[in-house]
Amino acid sequence: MKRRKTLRDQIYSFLALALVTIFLVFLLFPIYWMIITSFKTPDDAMSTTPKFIPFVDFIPSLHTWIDIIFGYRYGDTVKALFNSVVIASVSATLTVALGSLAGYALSRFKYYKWKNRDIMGFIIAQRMMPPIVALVPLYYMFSQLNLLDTQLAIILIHTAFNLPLTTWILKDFFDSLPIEVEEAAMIDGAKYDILLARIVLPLIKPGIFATWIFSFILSWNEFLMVLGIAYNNAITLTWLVSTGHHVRALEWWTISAYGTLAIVPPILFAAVLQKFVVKGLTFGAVKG
Amino acid sequence: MAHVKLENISKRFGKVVAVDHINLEVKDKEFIVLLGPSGCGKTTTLRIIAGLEYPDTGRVYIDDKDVTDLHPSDRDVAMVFQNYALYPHMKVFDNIAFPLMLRKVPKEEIKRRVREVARLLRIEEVLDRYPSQLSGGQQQRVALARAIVREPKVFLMDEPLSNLDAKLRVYMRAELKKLQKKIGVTTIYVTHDQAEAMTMADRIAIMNNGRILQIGSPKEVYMKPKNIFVAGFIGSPPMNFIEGDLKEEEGKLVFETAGLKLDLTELREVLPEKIIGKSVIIGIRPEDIESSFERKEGYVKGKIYVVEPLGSDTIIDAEIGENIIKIRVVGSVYVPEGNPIWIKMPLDKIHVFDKASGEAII
Repeated sequence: MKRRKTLRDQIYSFLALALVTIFLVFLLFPIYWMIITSFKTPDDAMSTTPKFIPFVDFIPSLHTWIDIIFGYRYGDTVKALFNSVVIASVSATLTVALGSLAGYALSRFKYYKWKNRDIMGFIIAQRMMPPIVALVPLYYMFSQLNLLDTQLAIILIHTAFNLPLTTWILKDFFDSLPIEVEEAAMIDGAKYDILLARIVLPLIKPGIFATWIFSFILSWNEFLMVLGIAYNNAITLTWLVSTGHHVRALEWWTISAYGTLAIVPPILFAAVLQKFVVKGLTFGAVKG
Repeated sequence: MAHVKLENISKRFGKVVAVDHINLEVKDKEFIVLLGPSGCGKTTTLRIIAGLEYPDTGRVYIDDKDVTDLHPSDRDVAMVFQNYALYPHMKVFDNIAFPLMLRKVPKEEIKRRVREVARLLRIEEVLDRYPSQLSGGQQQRVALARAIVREPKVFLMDEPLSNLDAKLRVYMRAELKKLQKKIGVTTIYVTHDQAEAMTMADRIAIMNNGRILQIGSPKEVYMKPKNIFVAGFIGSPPMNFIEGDLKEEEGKLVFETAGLKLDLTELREVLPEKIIGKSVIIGIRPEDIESSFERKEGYVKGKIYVVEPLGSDTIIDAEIGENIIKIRVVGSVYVPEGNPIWIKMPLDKIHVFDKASGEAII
């Protein structure tokens, strides 16, 4: 039977809607602010009365965007964008590749000298340390190796930093797979290479995808290590955003434009790749 | 087509001894059932044969070849799991073809063999579906097909019918047995269901606490149980057990318990001397007891406690002295509870067990 909406129901749904709206404004306003600022002239951006609404408060201008895309910042922009994409995707791929092997081993094999739990602890302990502690030693190390200001150095650092969490997350995905499926494959004649390639990894495809995006975003957003290691060839978008703040001025418009540029690719990536995730494949694998 | 030999196999998990020094020989083309209550080590034994567990002691031989150290993929055994363990991301066809594909069988032959097996198990029409789209019975047959298709040396089955509903289970029981005879592959089958074991097995190995208590044909373990555990586990309803003392009385050998006295003088020759004067347990199957609702010479009087008509026959629980004894009577019998009943236990159907050890004396 369908119940008629009472006044109370209406008040509740109104309140819920109001709360959601407030929350969304809270979340999205900074992004809105950043985007419109990137379309302001320096005068509008620096004006003492804040200007919120394009075409009403101020006339949008493409001047910053022309600067960073076609103008004198063109070279840096292309370089940083390219570096960010390369560093984030290579390190995410490496992280997932190594993390899935480590996660699988920790999930399926039993270690005796150091117990699995100890190993998991060692791995995650690496994340307990504030990253900046490692920066000076890493700087020294990479300078000895002649790898300062190279993409490789940053890829290695990001991979090492993101590996622990990735290993943990992927181990959980492996744990959730019914072991009988793997045992059946072994009995059917599969060794570990085929087992991983044909059975295990396809079954946790959603997990692989999620952790890839996760490490991609961690690497994409990482600033401190890039700041320490890169100064010209290996700069990334996060590094470039920070250049808007320099001795002569605080260029809010440049910071905003680079910021906007920096949030677009991850969103596109996630949206496009999401289509390839087919969920629910493991349901019905085993009965019981 | 192979024989399997287990030599002195043990396996413990922490402090629990799952398998305790087992020796077992399975003949070529034999259908052997490992039967026992849950936790008796039967599944662990099967997994050791498959190579999924490594034994703490002992060796596993398939066709006289020591396979103890071989990876499961190198043993040429096929296994059907209790929950089927189909590959959820592959269609039924690919599920069945998977073992062949790994053996680099040519594509055309894979197609032919998969279709052949699918026809045998009547799953041809679901080859294009995913396992999650199948019913339990179909999934079970796909799991069987995947095991059969590669013509392995040994089939291992771990309670493959336990997830099916009762009707389908009885049907598949017969199908499986027929199939096994048809393709003639040595089969080791694990179950806790004594009816499954009795109907399908060439030989049954009854296990408890990690040990094999008796191996024999269904008839043997039914007729001549070696100990009280086997006697109680096989048969439904289970064998009646009556505790009492065996003693000499006025030149007669009698078994005495509260409210019941049996003259066992005729059995004196088969009963060892040293058992006389000791506590024993007498066992008799419900169908072996003769009963009457009228007084009869040589019969013992009891009182009807409960009547359970099953249609084709009736189980009567009778109170004899202080013991409740189950009696199976052919046909439907309706008698009021509390009525008297007279029973007789034919001496040739009686089992006598040593109370201390549980071993069968006769």
